[in-house]
Amino acid sequence: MHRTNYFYIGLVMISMLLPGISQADVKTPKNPNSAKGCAICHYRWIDTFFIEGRGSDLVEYHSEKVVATPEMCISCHDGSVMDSRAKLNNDSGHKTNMKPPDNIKIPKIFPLDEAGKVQCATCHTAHGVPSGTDTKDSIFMRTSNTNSAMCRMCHPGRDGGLETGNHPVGTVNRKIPSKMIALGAIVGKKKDQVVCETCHTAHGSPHENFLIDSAGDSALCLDCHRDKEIFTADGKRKPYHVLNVVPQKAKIPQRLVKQGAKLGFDGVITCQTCHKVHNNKIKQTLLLVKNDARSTLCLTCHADKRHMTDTQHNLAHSAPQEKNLDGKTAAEAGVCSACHLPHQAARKLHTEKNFTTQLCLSCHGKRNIAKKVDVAGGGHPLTVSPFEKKDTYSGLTIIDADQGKLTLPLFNKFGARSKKGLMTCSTCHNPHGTRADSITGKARKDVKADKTTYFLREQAPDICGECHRSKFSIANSKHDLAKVRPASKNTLSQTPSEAGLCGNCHVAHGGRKGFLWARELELTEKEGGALEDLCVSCHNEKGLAGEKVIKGPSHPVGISPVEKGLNTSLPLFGMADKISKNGVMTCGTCHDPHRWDPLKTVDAGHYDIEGSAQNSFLRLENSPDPKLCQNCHTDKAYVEGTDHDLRVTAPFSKNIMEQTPAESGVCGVCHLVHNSGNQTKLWAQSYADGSDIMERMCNACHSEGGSAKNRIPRVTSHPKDKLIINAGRDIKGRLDFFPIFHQTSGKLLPVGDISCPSCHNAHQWDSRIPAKGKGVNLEGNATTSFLRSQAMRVLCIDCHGPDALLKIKFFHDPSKRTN
Amino acid sequence: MLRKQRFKKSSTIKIIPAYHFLPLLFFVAVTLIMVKPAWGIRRTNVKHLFDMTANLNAASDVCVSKDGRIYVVDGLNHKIRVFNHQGNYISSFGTKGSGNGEFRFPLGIDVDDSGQVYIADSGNHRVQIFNPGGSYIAEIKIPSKAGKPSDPTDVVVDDTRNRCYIVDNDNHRILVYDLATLTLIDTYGTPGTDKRAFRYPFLITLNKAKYLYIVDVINTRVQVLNPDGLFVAFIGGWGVEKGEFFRPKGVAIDKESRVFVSDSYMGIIQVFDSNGEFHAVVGDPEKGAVKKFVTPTGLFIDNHNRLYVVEMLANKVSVYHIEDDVE
Repeated sequence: MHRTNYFYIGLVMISMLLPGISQADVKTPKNPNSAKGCAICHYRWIDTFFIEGRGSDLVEYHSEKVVATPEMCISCHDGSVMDSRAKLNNDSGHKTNMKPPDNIKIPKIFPLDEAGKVQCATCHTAHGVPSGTDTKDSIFMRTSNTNSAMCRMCHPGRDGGLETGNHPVGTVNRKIPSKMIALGAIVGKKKDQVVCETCHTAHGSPHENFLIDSAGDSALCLDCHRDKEIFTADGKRKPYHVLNVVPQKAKIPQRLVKQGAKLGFDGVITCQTCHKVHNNKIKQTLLLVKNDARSTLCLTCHADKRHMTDTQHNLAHSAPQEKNLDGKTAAEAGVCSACHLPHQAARKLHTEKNFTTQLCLSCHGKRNIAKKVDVAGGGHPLTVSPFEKKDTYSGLTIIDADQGKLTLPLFNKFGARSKKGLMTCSTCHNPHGTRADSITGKARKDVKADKTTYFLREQAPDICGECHRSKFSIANSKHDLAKVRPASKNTLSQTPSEAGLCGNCHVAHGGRKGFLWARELELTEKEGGALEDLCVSCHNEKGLAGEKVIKGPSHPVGISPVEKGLNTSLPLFGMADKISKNGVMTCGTCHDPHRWDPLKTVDAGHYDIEGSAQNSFLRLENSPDPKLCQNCHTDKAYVEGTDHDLRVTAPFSKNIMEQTPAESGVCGVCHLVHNSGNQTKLWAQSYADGSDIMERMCNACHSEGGSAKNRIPRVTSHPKDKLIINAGRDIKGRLDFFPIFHQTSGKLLPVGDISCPSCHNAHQWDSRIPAKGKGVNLEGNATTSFLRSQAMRVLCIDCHGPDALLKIKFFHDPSKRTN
Repeated sequence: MLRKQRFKKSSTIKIIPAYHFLPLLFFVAVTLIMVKPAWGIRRTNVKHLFDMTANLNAASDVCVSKDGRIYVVDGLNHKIRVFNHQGNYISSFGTKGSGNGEFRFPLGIDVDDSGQVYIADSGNHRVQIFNPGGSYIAEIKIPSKAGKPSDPTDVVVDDTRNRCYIVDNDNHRILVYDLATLTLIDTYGTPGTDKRAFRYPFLITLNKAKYLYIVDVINTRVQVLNPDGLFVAFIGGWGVEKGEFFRPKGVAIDKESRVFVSDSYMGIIQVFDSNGEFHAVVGDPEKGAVKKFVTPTGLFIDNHNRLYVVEMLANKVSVYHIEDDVE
């Protein structure tokens, strides 16, 4: 190449190094001014960059226009000149550094950057702009923003109020609340004039869509529309459409979402789920779906409620003249409107109960339109948790609901379903559900309902079993009236087959106090009385269980074991059959009427077998081991395995009920809990000869023909009429206990004659060892042999001196006895 | 053609003409411009120790007590965050409000020799004083000036004179308060560009001799006043060259009396010697280049030669050990 050419090529190449003119991507500013006053924002105009076309030792070369970028703005608005950190940092406000969407036309007065993006400078400028009279409206703005004029210039479709399907703007007939003002709401120039910036703020909002308060929890809407709030100031629920809860059964259809329906934080229902506040086709109500006489709005999301239109709960059929509190019939305002209006009560509610219950009772009462289905009277508990077990001390489980298995809904205070919620009417009933007599669709309002399917979520008794499944063991037992008394009727005049397994004794509505009794009976107002009354209502001579009647001496009821110093894990009952640790014994203390055998669940028919101490609806088995009796009478259970346990020493003996020890249990050999015929000690044997009642009982076995005929003392009695005083030694449980008994009643006395049990404790083989026996027949001595050895040492010495021990040893030997 | 022949005849040794080197010169020049080697500027390298975040939101200033507790002004959370010497978050105090112990967009902070913490509670137009545990002690209400509300952006305590200096940013002045009585004893400055004049003074600090260093943001300089409030010197000026500022924000002085000044827009920290002359720029030893920060704002240098840098938009405080200079 010619050297001249080299020269020119080199010249051209060097010329390319010259700053500012050879950078293809650098556009010449329109009015460049490197003076500090300009370049303090127009960074690119600094001499080093713009004049010299280079970077410095500190920063790289800047060719791009960076004025009014967020970084430049905050370089002063970080508190060092102005503090706009909240607006710039917390901001979910007006977007910058992005291209406006196609449907938004930006007027030319608002310049975009070289890439067509919105920047701070699109709306703001530090240079002279036409200003209004109020600098707040125009300072640093490209034009006056009075009444949000700038907003409307770019977003004209959001203007116009209800007539154009938008939230009203302009003067409104409600006061803009001070809370909104505090949040940054701007009111128009006129009084109570809503403008764009009443709800939106271009900067400084931490909320979505640069709203001054969040719409994600409906807070913004409720700031103004306080009357739509579903709670009163003191926290009471109003019967309005729920807000801020996640829809569970309701399904927001996708088509509704496409129309603009929005869910709030975590998917909760908000005002905007039903209302669209901008560009809405339904103009006056701003609803997303027309609210017509077919309840289209409601049923759009609550499609599962459609079936109710064919039930008696559609008042258009069952009560066509009935009007809601808006003065409209169901035919006029839609089937849902009879009970529900989104922002006001549809019915007059009276009680203090939960809203669901109130709504039900507004129709279901003697003076109301559904008086035929009166639910007044004792009802199943409401506003309780089925998982809250209050009676665990006793081991008695009335409720056995499983949190993982319960299919019935519980409801929180919002009226929304919640796994941790409480029971309401709607837990068991689905007022919108299909009745068995209407599933084909056509309403049959005159059909008499089947109680077991009447708007219930499940048929009875399965619905009861959701929480009381363990009670189903009553099936096929003697207490299953369908098996044993199929023609009987409960208070609702239902036969067992109609009432179902549970309904024979219990009704959920209109039941008697206590356990919702479904039997005609007069309840006794005393602790445990109602339960006893229910048992006796069948177990009486004229009752359904006339052959199982308590008519002889029996174990006492209505007594407090606690007061007698007895500890028990069996259930005790207070007033109205409330389970109470300090309550009294009643039938239900020992018996579980729902379970025949305490050890196993019997499914097959067992209603026709005779019971024993192992079953008979006992809460604990009493044979072979006396588990039931010993639950209270712990010290008496030491008899087990001793010579007095006839299972060991006389297994073929029988009590007066002709029961062997194995059938009657250890205790039942000597004591009959029911109908013993003998008041004293509920004696289960015949009485033998003897000088007093206690001796006669002992001799029943310790006599010829008795089960202890090889243990007959040659002399049985202490000399009589000695007026032995046991004062101070008459306290049960003490080692020196030495009881003296009334000759005929067997009651304890402070002075009297010595009888067999004065010296012997028939329940404990060795007074030194408070334990059960070993199940073998033992030969006794002066320290065992059921002797109260400690007591004897003390009391006998009173009269007999130190040789009392010797005398006791030979007490039953006539040859050794002296006067 | 003649020239060509003459060339051939007269050259036993081949001499390459100068213009043949023009392309080479061009590429060398381009390389120098594009690569911009850092050998032209001295760097004071810093070694990164740790970052402190703790959900900071637009933090602005930091200080460290003598016992090593690190206090960070968490402005948009309206709190003071407390960290231990290892940078582990300990606690916080304050909440949004205007009551005692509450803040509205606090900005500056200092801690005195006894551990008492002083907060420029800008939005509440006051400075609040707390004990080291964050319990409220007292407040200094900063008066308006000619109807313009005060805007206290920073405070620094002179223990030797039992006074504190408070920046009134919007009123372009420095207020001197007696700490015994919490009363105003002097006012420095007027709006303007002259000596003892300010345009948006922001963060301040004191050197060992209790000379006051004021970052004068829009005047793009640091102004130094003596303990009597008399003008001593300007440090820095307008521009992007070494020793110049675009948005100076924070200032801190190390035990060698070197003055560190942050520039939030350029994202750098420059170091000036005790005479106010440019000394170096804080460097990144790993990259061998100027250390870049995200909106560096408040600075602090503790007795362990640690440099604390509040990076406002990064929502963190980064902590470094100041190392040697490199050329």
